[in-house]
Amino acid sequence: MTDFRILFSKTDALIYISHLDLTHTFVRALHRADISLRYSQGFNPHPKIVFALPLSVGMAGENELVDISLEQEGFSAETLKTLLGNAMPKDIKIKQIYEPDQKFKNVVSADYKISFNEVQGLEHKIKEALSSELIVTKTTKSGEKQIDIFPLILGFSLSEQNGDTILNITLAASSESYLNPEYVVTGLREKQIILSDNYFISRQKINFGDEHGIQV
Amino acid sequence: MLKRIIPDFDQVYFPDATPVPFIETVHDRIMLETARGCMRGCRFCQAGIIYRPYRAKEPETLNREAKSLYSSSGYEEISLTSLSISDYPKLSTLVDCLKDWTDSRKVGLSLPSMRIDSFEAEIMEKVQGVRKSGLTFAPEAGTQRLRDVINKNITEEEILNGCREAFRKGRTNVKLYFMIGLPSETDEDIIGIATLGQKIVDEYYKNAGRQKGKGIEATISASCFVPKAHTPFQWEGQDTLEELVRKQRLLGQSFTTRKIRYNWHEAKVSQLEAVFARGDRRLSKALIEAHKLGIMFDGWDEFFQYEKWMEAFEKAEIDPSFYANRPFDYSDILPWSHIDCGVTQSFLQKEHLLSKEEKQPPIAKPNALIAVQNGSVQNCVGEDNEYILFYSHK
Repeated sequence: MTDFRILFSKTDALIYISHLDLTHTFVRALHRADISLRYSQGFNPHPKIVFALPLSVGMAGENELVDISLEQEGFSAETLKTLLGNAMPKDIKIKQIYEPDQKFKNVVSADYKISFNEVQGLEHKIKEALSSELIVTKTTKSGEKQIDIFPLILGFSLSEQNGDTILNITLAASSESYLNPEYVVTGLREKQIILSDNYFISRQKINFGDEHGIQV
Repeated sequence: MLKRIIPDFDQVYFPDATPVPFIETVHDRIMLETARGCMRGCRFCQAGIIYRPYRAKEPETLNREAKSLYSSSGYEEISLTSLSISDYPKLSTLVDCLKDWTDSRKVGLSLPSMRIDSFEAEIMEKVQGVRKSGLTFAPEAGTQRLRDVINKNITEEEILNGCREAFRKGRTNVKLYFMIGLPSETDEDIIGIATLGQKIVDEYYKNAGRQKGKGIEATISASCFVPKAHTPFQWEGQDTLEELVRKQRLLGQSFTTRKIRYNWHEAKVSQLEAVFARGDRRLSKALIEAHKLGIMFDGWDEFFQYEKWMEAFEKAEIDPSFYANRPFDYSDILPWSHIDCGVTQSFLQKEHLLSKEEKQPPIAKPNALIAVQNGSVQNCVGEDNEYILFYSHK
């Protein structure tokens, strides 16, 4: 086969490179491993490499997905995993390589882990804030907007671990509605529930749904 | 102080693995140094003098280095660098060797600006491929007379022919680089820049096969000449600030078409460059004063403070024009006289005198160039060891 889906993690120092930089990193790693990517046609050919969802700078991703298309036949997923794994920088781990199943356009949501560091006793307040209308100021190209992010929160749970408050939250992540978890933090800050900058966001999982947008 | 060279250039240290940034930086490519030195002998160019003799690497060496750098970096472009890549003796062979494995891996090859004639045009086609990038020339002077003075061997015919061919092949972008304030320059030479620009624009519109509705994108950049150490012009003073500004204005007003974009550089910055290019250790005082006055980031327009620099010079009791504008005498001990870069003072003086006669250097060079292009690189040494132009360890 020539199309592969790669499950990988982006952590530690590499959370600071942008999504575009991540694309370059993959392309260069493939070059180093001497694996030929298929290129698009036309005047400005670019390599066929598509990510399910982008990661914001500063956010880690534990189970990210990218599809690549190779020029040669005959590569097995195992071989590819070894070759690519050796060529990638250490903070990107190739976890698994397989034949793509569901299309990326069927992605409906994503699970995030937001840890509010050195913060305790706020579980009740956070739970309350996320359970009804939550207005957040969104800055777009045309100016500032107030939006209610509650409809885009699909589920959450709270816990305390080692003195930190952990919020596990599932947010809408489709092409029509995508909520960046940063807005959840902003919403809690605008309500004066969270007061510090000391938090960390890590995407845990990307979820597919069927044509009706129902989570599978 | 005598300069040392590495005679066998295939043995020079070159990294086989290069750092690869995660983010996009400038120079996002493999830099492959193909040769060191230059044989053209342009009289204003310091690099051409101090990196003599010309030494080139064999294509096998370069191919091996390129492969190693590619597998350690994964970069998608290799740039073949040297001072005058057109003079690399086996350029065609090298390009073929590389394309053998770079084509299938979609790795691009790029060459810094090349001289334009039919030999090079073939290579350009091999290298550029589908992407039609711009065409660049550096005539440096607007008239043949002044080009002979500075020994920049490129004729108007060559430029126009090169442009004509490129336009026929669909190129629409042309960049030309010039200097103003060159020794013996007259207003006629300045106006010559605009005239040449007009001729190139005319060539474009003469091309019946050009894309309808697409205009030419022509840029002319004129920087201010700064006399450099270890060149035949090291005794020349820079034009005064007033003269440079007057010439910049004259050029701007001389253009006869709106199709040309004229880029110019702040003459005050060039004047400062001349002070430090021709200065001696006494300038260290001025540097300290400048630092005390909080001067920094001069490279950015918004931070450049000319008045503060003048204040720094005043405090250090230095007259900047003593360094920038004063012509030096052959009998002067120059601030760099204690450094021997392998080229004698008598050679530089002879070149300087020839430039005043608007003459090009004697015959040794053209023969040497032909020898190199034929692939038979040999020692070429003139009388007094003056013309050590290139060197082969074989």
